[in-house]
Amino acid sequence: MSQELKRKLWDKTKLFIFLLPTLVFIFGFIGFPIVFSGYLSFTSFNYAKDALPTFIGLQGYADMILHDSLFHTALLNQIKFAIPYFFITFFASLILAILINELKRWVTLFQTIYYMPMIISMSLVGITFSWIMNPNLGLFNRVLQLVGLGSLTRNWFGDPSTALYGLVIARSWKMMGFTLVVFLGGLASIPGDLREAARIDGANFWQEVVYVILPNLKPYLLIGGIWVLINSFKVFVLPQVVTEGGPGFATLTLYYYSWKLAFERLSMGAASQVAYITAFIILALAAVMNYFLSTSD
Amino acid sequence: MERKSVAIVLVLAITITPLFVLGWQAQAEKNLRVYAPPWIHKKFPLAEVTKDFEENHPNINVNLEKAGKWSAPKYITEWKGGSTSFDVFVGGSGSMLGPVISGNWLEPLGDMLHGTMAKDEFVGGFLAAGHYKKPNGDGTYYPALPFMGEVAIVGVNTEIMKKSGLWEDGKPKPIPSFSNTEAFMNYFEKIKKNAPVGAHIQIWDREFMQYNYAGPILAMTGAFQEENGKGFDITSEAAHKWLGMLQEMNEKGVGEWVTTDAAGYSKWKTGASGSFYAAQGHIMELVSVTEDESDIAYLGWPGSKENGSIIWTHSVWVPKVSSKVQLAKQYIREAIFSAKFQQWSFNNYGKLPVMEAYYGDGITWFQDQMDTILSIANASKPIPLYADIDKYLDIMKKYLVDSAFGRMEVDKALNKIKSETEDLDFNNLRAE
Amino acid sequence: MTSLNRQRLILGVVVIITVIFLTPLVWMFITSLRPTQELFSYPMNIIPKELSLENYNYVFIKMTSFFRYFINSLVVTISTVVLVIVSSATGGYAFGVRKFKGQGLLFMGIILVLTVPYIMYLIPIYMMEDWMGLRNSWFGLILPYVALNLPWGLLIMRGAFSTIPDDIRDASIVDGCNEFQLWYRVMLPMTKPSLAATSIITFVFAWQEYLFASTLMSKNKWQTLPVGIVWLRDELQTLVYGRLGAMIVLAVIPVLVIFYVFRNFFIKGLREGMLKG
Repeated sequence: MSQELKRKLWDKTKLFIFLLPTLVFIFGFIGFPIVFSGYLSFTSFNYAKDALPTFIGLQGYADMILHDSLFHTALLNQIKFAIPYFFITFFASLILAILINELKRWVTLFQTIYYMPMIISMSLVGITFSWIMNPNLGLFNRVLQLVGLGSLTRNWFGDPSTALYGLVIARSWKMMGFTLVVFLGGLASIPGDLREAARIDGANFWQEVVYVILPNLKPYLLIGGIWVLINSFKVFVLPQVVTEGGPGFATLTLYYYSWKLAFERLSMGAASQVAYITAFIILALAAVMNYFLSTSD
Repeated sequence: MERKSVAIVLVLAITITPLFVLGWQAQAEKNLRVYAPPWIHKKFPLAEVTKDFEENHPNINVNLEKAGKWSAPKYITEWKGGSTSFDVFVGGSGSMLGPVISGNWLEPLGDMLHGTMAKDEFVGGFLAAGHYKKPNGDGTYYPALPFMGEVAIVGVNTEIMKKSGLWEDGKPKPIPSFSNTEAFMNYFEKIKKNAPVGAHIQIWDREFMQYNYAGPILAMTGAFQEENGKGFDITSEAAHKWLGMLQEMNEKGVGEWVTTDAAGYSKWKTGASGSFYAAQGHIMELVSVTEDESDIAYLGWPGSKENGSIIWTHSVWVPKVSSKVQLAKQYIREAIFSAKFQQWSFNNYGKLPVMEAYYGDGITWFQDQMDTILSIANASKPIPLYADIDKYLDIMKKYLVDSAFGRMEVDKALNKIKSETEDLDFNNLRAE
Repeated sequence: MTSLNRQRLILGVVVIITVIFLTPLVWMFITSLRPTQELFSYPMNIIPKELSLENYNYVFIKMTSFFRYFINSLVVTISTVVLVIVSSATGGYAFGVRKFKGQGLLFMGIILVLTVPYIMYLIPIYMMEDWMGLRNSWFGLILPYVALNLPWGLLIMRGAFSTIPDDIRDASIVDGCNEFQLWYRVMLPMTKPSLAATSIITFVFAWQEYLFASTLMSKNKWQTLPVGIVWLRDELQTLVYGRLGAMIVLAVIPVLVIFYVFRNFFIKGLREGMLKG
């Protein structure tokens, strides 16, 4: 073996050693599983009943999309969840970030406060909100009564018309800290003289926001937006812990439905179909958003 | 040198991992492994009777474990591989056990029904809930033994009933007949005037929904299934009537339906609800808050005296693949069917014992109401366990709950159920 | 409006929103200090009449499983952090400093991990772990946790390594360092803040993870805090929010402390990861 070849081989070996842990974990617990669940989605595999998966091609997807009435419920709920969740999380954190940025002082303090729910487990957030929204002993209804809005009180998570939106509020509360931090980072990077110049030109605060701040914030809005979008479709813990998908199936989300199929019925094939459809929706929406926000210049 | 040591560390880290795992797996196995869901651990003196059992048999170790959320398929996967993570499972009612029983995974326990556990020592209706057709169609057997019974019953808050003028001769006035819709509604509206909630029906989840729907229909007509046995009654006048009433009560705010235990309990235990249709054990729990028996009284739906109510049970069972079947049976007889186990739970949580003998000495609660409860229990029926119960309940839940909460018209909901359940397998697994 | 007044107005608005925002946390804390009797009083008093530590006492004395959950969370979280550090420090070097075929594609693939629902991994992992006997063991959680956190770690560490000037690399090689020494002795110390960011992000993830923990660990003994507390809620069944509150407070304190101490690394790491990805 020539010296050169030896050196190259050793070089490759070193690279491989550096990559080894990454490759082991990524292929073992990410790469292989995702391919395998992709395969499962083309089968009717039930882990409890079948010894081996039976390949059925697209039949499973067709049945799921056309005939599975719980899938339809879950899809509808998912859309009803995602839209308000996206707007509340995105705009609440954007507005707050702009306000906090104006303060100049205490920015880190507020940033830390708003980030706090992000580090608390979603399941514990769920328990906390079920307590606050408890129809008789909860803080929320009590406050409504005390301010004279007693007629609005209800069993928020127990009423099919409000349960889903209650979960939207709880989840936005937990998640908005992340986008807030991203937006604050973006705001801090806008040069002060840009805004100064706008002010000298006679722009009021609103105009400043529209003509200076938002255009400069664009890459951050894109990142934050995509992140919120992705998360508006990955909804599992709250419906499981707070409402168990109920009342009826009013809070059954796609993710939760997939989980139920997989781990209550062990219908791994059907569960993979739902998961892949969800992933497809997420990626498609993210691509659309990316297209619009990054090309409209 | 350097490069070698780094490489070695990395390789070691990756190879040692599985070894660790094997080490953890190789823990010593206890003699008998007993599983029970968390609520059984709380509402039964499971740890105590297990300790007694161990003391009586010094060479036996019992490992008590809390079971997670129920999923029959999970355990079935295990058994298919020939192993089981428990020998005895304490708990499980009808719809949970459906797939396990139809798959013939449970050890027959009928041979235990002798001596103090002879068939006629049981409260009749409760033992029937453990009686199933053999999966091969050849006769019947007892794959699970009920150890606790529940009767669906209406409980009322004495205080609120008195305020509402619905108290007479030391007991609540009976609920007017279903046929007199106006009087029926009026009764609960009166309660509503004196409490935030007039009628509470606990709870609209997958399990209780069946009792909530079937109980009053049974009281009205003496039956709650379709005549051809294909599911619950969804075509009769009574079915339309009851679902319509549920909708109306919810709409008017006379009744408020909830879907979680916590929300239901909070209504009842804070005294916010005047009446409460639930398991009688749940109703008794109010007393564990107020510590005064006279705070509650029992009622039936109109007609339930003649036509009965719905009962259900929780059972103890043994997976066939367990290698400790005999020991498991001994544990069941000595611990689960002990007076201590069943009476403690009644005295603290109102869960009904299944042995008639346990209704005498040792009961410290509600002695004067025992006859009422027992007579209802004896006249009651368990709900059927259809072969396709999982799918069936999903569809029922989807439309029934929507309709009860006023989001779908009664006719539409019942028609949807009919059309979507037509092809299911309604073979009743229970012995009839 | 003068600039000072404007500042005050904005501050006022922000403070009011913040107070409302903090209410759930504060309320759970207050709840944990109220005796059960008071929680059942109806209508409810917002201002507590009586505070007590009875709930904390109960958790400490009676709830032995709570401590088991705590230990599980601690072991799983710390092991995950260590493995993520090792893997992302090596992998980050490979991606940030070395050039190889398929680098960009592999990296893109790894980042895509973050966008799809994790249940796509969970279904096969469940079957794999069932088969290997990894369910209901610490490793059964640690291994997938490492894999799920590695993408973030790689993002951050790749960034950190790629900003180290080539001069330093060349100089060290001239000094006779081999590649492992270059990595370990020269470069790694320069990425300490990023390592810190990776650790803390991983810590926070593993401490609060629910989906995998609740699915893969079916036995009570192996539950971590986020799942265990939900189990205890189901076990207590009725309204013992005082005790649940106490448990939540106890479960949140460690991560809150760590987050507070390392908050600057944390936020820096998030931003870096975000923007480069």
